[in-house]
Amino acid sequence: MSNDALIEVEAVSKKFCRGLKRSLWYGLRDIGRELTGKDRHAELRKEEFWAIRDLNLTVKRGEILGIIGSNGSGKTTLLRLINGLLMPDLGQITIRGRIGALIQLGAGFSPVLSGRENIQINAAVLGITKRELAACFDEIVDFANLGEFLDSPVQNYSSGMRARLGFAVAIHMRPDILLVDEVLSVGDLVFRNKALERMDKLAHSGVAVIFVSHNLSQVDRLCTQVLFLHKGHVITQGAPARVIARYVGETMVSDTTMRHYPGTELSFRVLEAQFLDPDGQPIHQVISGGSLSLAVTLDVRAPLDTPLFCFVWEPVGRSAILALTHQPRDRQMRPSLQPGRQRLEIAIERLPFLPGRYTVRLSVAGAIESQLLGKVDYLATLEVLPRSDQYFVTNESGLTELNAVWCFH
Amino acid sequence: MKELVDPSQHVPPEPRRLEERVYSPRCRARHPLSLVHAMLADLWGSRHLAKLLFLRDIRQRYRQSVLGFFWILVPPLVTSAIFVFLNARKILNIDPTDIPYPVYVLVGTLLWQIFSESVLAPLKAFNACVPILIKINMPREAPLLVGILQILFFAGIQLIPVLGIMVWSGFPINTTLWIAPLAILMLMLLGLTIGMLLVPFGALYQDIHEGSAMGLRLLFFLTPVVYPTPRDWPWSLVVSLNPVTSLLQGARDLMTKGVMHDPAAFWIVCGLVFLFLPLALLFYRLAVPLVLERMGA
Repeated sequence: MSNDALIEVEAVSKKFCRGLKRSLWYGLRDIGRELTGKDRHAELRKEEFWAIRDLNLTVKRGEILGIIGSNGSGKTTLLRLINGLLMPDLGQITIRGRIGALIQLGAGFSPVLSGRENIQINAAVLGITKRELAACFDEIVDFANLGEFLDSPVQNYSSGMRARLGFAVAIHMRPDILLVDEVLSVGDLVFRNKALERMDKLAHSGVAVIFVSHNLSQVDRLCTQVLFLHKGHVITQGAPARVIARYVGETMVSDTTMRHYPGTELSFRVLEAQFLDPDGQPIHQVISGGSLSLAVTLDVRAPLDTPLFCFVWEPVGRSAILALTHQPRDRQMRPSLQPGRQRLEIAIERLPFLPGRYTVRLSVAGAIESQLLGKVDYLATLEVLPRSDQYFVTNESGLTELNAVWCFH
Repeated sequence: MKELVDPSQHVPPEPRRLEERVYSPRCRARHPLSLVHAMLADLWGSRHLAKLLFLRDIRQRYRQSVLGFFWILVPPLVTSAIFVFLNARKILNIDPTDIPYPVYVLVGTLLWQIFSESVLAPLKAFNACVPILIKINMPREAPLLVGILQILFFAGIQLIPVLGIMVWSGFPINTTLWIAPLAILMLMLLGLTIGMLLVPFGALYQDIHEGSAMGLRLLFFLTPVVYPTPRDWPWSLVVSLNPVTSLLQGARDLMTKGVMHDPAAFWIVCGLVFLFLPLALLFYRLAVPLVLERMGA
């Protein structure tokens, strides 16, 4: 049944103009065209470029489509087209049902007014009628978990509380289509998980969801299919694991530029850093609990006396969870490095990290441990994929796993 | 602990009829009937939203103000006082008016204020809503309604001291005072018509904002606000061709004298307003989405 498709985007293109002055002038001319009964200008004019080119997609009831891509790939433009904020320059978009957009949480929030007053305004902005709001006001307050803050001015709220309130209002408008754009990056973990859970529930009740995020593990966890956008074109679309793997493979760039500390001389630099599988093949992904090694190639220019290396692992967007320091620590047993190419390989037997995306930082100290020589902020990135026997009772899975023996006595 | 109610569980697995919308590059002006229909629906549908946004602005403004409404009441009184003073000291050479000059200038300034606010309100209200409009698909007519509510609110407040002064000074109150609001409304609609035409241009180019403020200052002197309608040619022609003159004079006559000096001119301008107001609304409807596209996210 084709009516199951709530969003149909057919061969849609949208262009933007680089220069502001010219863009305004084109705006004026577009008004002229519209008033004289002419369709939109379909060709590129000077300084214009295609932000979205010939894009097709369909989202059906109950589906959650994830959209991933680097900055400037057209994700937000696509959402704005679907939301009716931009009109396509070519092609056609058909929307069935009411759209709820979690694009700017708390739009219209006024800092001096109370949470209660702001709920009313925000709801009206989102198109929730007075009667609908009366029916779900208590639910919104419950979901946002504001407690006594309900009657305080919103300027006294933390950004997380504001996001929670905005999300709570938007989610209660009972949309048929839900557009979500990076809004979950604010708010704490509990709220984020609660929000994801709620989106999942909405999808199960027949809502079509589009979820734009840079958080690949969230996309992986939530979406039924994923679309990889690059410069306005669809690179690939399909099952989350496959599309995410392709995206990670194509866009993961590490920056091995070494930054040295003031007062120290940089006598070496990092040429390459890679993760390798047990067969020595470069990889970007590993199954949680799998084995791999980290290989770093250095270009040493002057003899390095017993340097000390420290690799710090960070889940993307969070603070470090592990610092892997040079073994052995004993200075006498550490090798000194001679000028030329040197390769350091660290074998990890069993990676204890849970699914997610991790980056590795490198800090190098000299012979005296407190003397830092240099550091690399984005040495390498690794995507840890779930293992089939891993399961979690709540959404809070943590970051690492522990080997433990369970028994009842 | 209170159980959370999940709204999604209340929704039956549908099949309710879903509203279908199609977005395409086709020109909407070619289907004027559906355009008018959608516009009226949006105007009607956004009244609750406009009311809330208006109340928000008012509360926001006065929650951080000690003197509050004082700032609305005072400007027309001060302007009138200045002209009364200048005229009394013969610094200005103003022809004698047919009603006492202080009342003439007080009512004139109030009416002018309503007109000039009406010209500026649509753009001001629109600009205030831009951050929401570019992110959320809400009726684009809502800022217009907010602007109208603001004008009505300010006009209502400013009318009080003017009437008070008229009564206090022993000025005879005519029965036509009660139909004067209709004439004031026409003056407001004339201002709104001009204001709506300015919105798309003003949103794109800052120059419109500056230009309209200057234009209004110029128009102030081409309108018999603080002086009586001139009789000597060509000045009389310039002033009588100015559409604000007829409406402002008409409204002032109804408020003070009870008889309209030039009803024909008044009705002609009313007719023009009724002709151009819907056109301005349609223009706003067609142009504003294009303007918002240029404003980025």
